[in-house]
Amino acid sequence: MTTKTILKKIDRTGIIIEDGLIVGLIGGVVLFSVMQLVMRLFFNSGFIWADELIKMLVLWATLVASISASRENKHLKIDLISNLIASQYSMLLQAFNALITSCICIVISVHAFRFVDLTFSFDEKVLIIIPAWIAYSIIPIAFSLMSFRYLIACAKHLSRYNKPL
Amino acid sequence: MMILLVLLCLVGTPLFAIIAASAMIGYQSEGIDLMALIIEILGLANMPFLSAIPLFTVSGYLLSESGAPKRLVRLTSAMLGWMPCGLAIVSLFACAFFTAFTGASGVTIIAIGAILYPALKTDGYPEKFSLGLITTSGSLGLLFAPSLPLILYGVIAEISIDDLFKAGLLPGILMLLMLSLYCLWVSRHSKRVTKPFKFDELVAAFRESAWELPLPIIVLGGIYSGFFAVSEAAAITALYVICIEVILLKEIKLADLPRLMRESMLLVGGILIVLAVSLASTNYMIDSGVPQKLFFTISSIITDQFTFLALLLLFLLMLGAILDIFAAIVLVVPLLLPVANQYGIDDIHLGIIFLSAMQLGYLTPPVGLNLFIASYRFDKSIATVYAATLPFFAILFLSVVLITYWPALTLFLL
Repeated sequence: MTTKTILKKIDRTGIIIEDGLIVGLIGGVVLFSVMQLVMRLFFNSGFIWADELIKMLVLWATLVASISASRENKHLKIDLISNLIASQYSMLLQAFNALITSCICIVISVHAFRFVDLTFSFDEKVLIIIPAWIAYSIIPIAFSLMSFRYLIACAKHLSRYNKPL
Repeated sequence: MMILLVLLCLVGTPLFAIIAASAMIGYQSEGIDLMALIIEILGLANMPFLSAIPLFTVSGYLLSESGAPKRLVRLTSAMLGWMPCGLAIVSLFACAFFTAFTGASGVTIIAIGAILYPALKTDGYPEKFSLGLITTSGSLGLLFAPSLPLILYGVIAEISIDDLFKAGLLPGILMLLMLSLYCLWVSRHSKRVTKPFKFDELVAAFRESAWELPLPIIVLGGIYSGFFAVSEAAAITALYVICIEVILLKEIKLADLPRLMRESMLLVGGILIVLAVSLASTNYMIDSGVPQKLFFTISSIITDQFTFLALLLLFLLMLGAILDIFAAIVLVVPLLLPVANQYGIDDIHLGIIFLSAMQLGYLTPPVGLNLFIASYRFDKSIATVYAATLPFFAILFLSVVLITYWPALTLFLL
C-alpha cells in the first residue's frame, strides 16, 4: 500500500467519523430536548444534567460542523476580490487565505490545549461526574483539525496555481 | 494591525479566523492570557435557546428536500389563486411562509422558486417580472417566526425571542401587502383571466398537506401561548419533521438523512463558530469602552433620533451589501445596541429595523445571496437578475423606511 492510498484511507475514515458525529450529536440534541419537554409537561420535573448536556452537545456539534465546513471551504467570508481577478491569481489568493487561517487556528489550538491541561490539573467536573477536560477537549481537537485542513487546502491551491491553464 | 485585518476580510479570509485574530491581538496588547479566548468560546454553550438554531435549520433543510414545497404551493394556490394576479401573490405568501421555516438560507428560491418560476411564465407573466418576484421572495418572511435571524438576534441581544416573534408579525405583513399591491398595479392592464375559486381543490390541497399543517400550529401556537420555549418548539419540530418526512411519507430516504443533517449543520457550524469567537472580540471591545466612544463620536455629529435612524439605515444597507446577515447580527448588534439605546430606540424595534434592512442585503451586489442563487438556478446573468429585482427592491426599501420611522407598527402587539 502506497503512502497516498494510506492517506486517502485516513481521510475517508475521518470524513465518516465527522459525519457520524454530526448526526449523533444533533440526534442527541433532539432526543434529550424532547425528553426534557415530556418530563416537564407530563411529570412536572426534569433531569438536572439534561440541560447542561444539551448545551455541550450543541457546542460539540458546532465545532464538528466547523471542521466539516473547513473541508469544503464553507466558512462565512466576505469575498469581494477573487471573482474580479484572473482565476490563476485567485488560486494564489485562496492559498494565502488558507495559510493565514491555518496559522490562526493553530495558535488557538495551542492555547486551547493549555486550557484543557489546566482544567485537567484542577480536576473540574461537568455533568456531575464527567471530567471537564473531556468535554472541553473538542476545542483544541477542532482547531487543530481545521488548521490541518486549511494547510492541505493551501497546498492544493498552490499546486493548481503552478499548472498552466 | 486592524487595517491588515480589514484587508484580510476583503480578500476572503474566513471571518471566524479574522475575528479570533483581532480578539487575540486585543488580549495580547492588554497583557491578558490568550486562554481567555477559549473561555469565551466555551461561553457559547451557555447562551440561552441556542439549540433552537441547529434544530430549526435541520427541520428546514428536511422540509425543503421533501414534497412539502410542492404541497405548500398547491395549498396557497387553492387559497389565493382566485385573486387577480393570483399566482404572483401566491408566490409572495408561499415564499414568506417557507422562508420563516427554513431560515433564510437561500433554500426558498431553490425549493419554491423552482416550482413557481415556470408556472408564472406559463401564466403569461413577463419574464423579467417573474424573475424579480421570485428572487425578492427568496428572503421574504425573515421577520416571521421562527426565522433563524430573528432567533439569533434574540440570543445576541439577550431579549425575549417570544416578543421578537410578535414584533415581526406586522412589519412582515406590511412588506407582503406592499409587494402584493405592486403586483396588482403592474398587472392592472393585463388581460389574464382570473381563475375561479374551487372549494373541492382547497379541500384536496388541505388533505394533501394534512401532515405538515400541524407544524405552524405546534410552533407558533406553542410559542405564542407560552406552552413551549423556543428551544423546545425547535426540538418538537425537528422530531415531527423527521417522523413525517422519513417514516410516514417516506419522501426522504433514511439513507439520505445523515447527508441532509450534515449539509444543514455546515451552515449552522459556520454561523455559530463566528458567534463563538466574536463573544471574545465583542466582550473585549465592550470592556475597553468602544460603544461609549462610538456614541460620543456619533453624538457630536448627530443629536436627534430622526437623523440617527437615517444614518443607521444607510449603514445597514451598506453592511447588508457586503456581509452575510448572520455574521452581521453577530458582529454589529452588540456594539450597535448600546448606541441605539442612547437615542431612545427600543431593543426590539432595533432588531426589526436591523433584520428588515439586512433583508435588502440579499438583493444588493456584490454579495447578495438571492442574486447568486437565482442567477445559478434560472441560468441568467447576475446583471439581468439584479435589474429584474430593482422595482421590488424599491418597494421593500420603502417598507423598511416605514418600519424604521413607525415604531408603533413593531411594538403594537407587545
